[in-house]
Amino acid sequence: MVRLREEAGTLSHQVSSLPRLGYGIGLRTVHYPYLLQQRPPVDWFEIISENYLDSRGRPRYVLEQLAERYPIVMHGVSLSIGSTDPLDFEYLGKLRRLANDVRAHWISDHVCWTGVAGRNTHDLLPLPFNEESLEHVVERVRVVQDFLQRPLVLENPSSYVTFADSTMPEWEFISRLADETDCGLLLDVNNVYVSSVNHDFDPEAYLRSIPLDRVVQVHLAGHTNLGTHLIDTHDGRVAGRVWELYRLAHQLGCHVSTLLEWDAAIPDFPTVHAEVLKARALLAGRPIEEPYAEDGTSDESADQERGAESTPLPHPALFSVAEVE
Amino acid sequence: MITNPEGVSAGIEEASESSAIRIASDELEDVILPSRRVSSHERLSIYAHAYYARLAECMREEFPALLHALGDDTFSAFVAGYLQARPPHSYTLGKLGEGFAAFLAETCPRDDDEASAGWAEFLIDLARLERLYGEVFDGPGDEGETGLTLAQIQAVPPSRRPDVRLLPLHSLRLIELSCPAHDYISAARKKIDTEIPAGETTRLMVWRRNYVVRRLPLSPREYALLQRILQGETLGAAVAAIACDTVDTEHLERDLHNWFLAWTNAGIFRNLSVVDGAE
Repeated sequence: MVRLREEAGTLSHQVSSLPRLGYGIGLRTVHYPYLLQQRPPVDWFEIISENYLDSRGRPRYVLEQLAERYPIVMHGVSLSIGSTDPLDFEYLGKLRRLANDVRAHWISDHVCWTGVAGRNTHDLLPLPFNEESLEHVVERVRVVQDFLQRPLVLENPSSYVTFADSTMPEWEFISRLADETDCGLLLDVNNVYVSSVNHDFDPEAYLRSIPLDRVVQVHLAGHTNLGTHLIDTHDGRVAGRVWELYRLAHQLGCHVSTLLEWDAAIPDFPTVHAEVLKARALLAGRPIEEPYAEDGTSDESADQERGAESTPLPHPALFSVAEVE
Repeated sequence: MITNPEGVSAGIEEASESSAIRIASDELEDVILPSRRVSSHERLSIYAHAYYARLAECMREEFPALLHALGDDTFSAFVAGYLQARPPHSYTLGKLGEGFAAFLAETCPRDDDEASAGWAEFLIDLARLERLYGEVFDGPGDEGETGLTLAQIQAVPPSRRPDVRLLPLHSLRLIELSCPAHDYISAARKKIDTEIPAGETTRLMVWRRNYVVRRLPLSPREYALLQRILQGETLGAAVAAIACDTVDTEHLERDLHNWFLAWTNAGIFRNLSVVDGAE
């Protein structure tokens, strides 16, 4: 126990010393040619870890090229920290190796579970928030951090169900998790907003309740409004309400690395880059030009039309498509 | 509960029959609370829909020509069956489609007539080849190395050439198909309408150069020779094996020259060794 406390103290120090990288973009395969040819002035890139762990082809080559020029952060979707399945140490070993290879500034994943009994749904499934689940996740986070020899950074996912067994709100669960493990937090402001609508809570209260000194990164993304609930689709611009929450987080003292995720209907790179740079302008006091407001504007009707054609997909998965001559 | 293709209610019944989760469909609110505007059932259904939709989308990206051939409804039905039979277990989506061709081979409906059997074999060929493309694309490669030239092979004294063992690229694969599915895949990926190819045994070598997958049709004897070289046989043993039924040695020598010229132009060999006391 003494050893764990000492390690926790070290990890806490490590979290607070993680660098502020600026305004980054989630690396996506459709942008590979542009990035290699144009070398745009982007502050940093975040990769989906699982797409590179086993790659020995072009995705890995592109990553190594970019890692020479840009800071890299690893963001995973298969750690399954909340599952009752045993932790996968082969997977963790690959994470550790890749992080060393590309000099990743930190490794993040989600407060969720992705499967059970060996299955992987490739979804970010929500946890019940109670003492039993907290104890379970705390223990697993400690094991992972011990193995990785670095603090784990965990993100609040968007969610669509509330468990009757939950005895505390998500922000309390995450705050206590960070406090007990000294892990870092990845604050996804869009997810806070999506979940606030889906679970009928106040998103500002969420931001005021989490330990912002543990936050090392912020995520921004677009979502889809289906009228009765929101879906975290990552397929468009950041909504005006999410920008407001982002600004509030900054006002509350959350001055950390910011990253935009755009995973479906991905536009050209300059469009994606311009979207994240709005964050810098916003924090410099300039208003977002033509803010995309998914509440009560024409953009909302566009969303609903899109929803009527096909049910939007939460958190789209990313697959590396083979290039064939 | 969220992986039953019939939906959440069927998933709840299935789960309550087979596990410790024992609730009836109308008791779902005891586990999942409703929100102000969405019922418990509807909330859980978001995950049920997403499970199939997300994985099907990845399968569409990995098998675009098969999708083109089948149309979205039939393709999605096959994917749903596949995910039921072989649910994903890996942390990576890169392994999601690895059993799809075998699943199709086991389950693809085949009537007694020749056309139906040919159609099924065509679909299986598409799945096998598209999967192979993906494996070669992201698998081990030799981008840093220049391939062996024909001159380098010819530099070995003629008396020692039978003892030469060629080292192929790590990415090199051979595949035998029931039809020229590669042409159909190329057209489909370029979104060009094309006819379903007639049945004709087709042999390909597939490899990667500069991070792009390449493929080249091979004649039956060319395929047989390359197969033996890939198995580690010396040139002498490999050539002897394919030449055993040949009387036209001059024609064979011409073929060998042309094959090795094409292979070395493609850069499919990394190196060679001359084996002492070759078997």
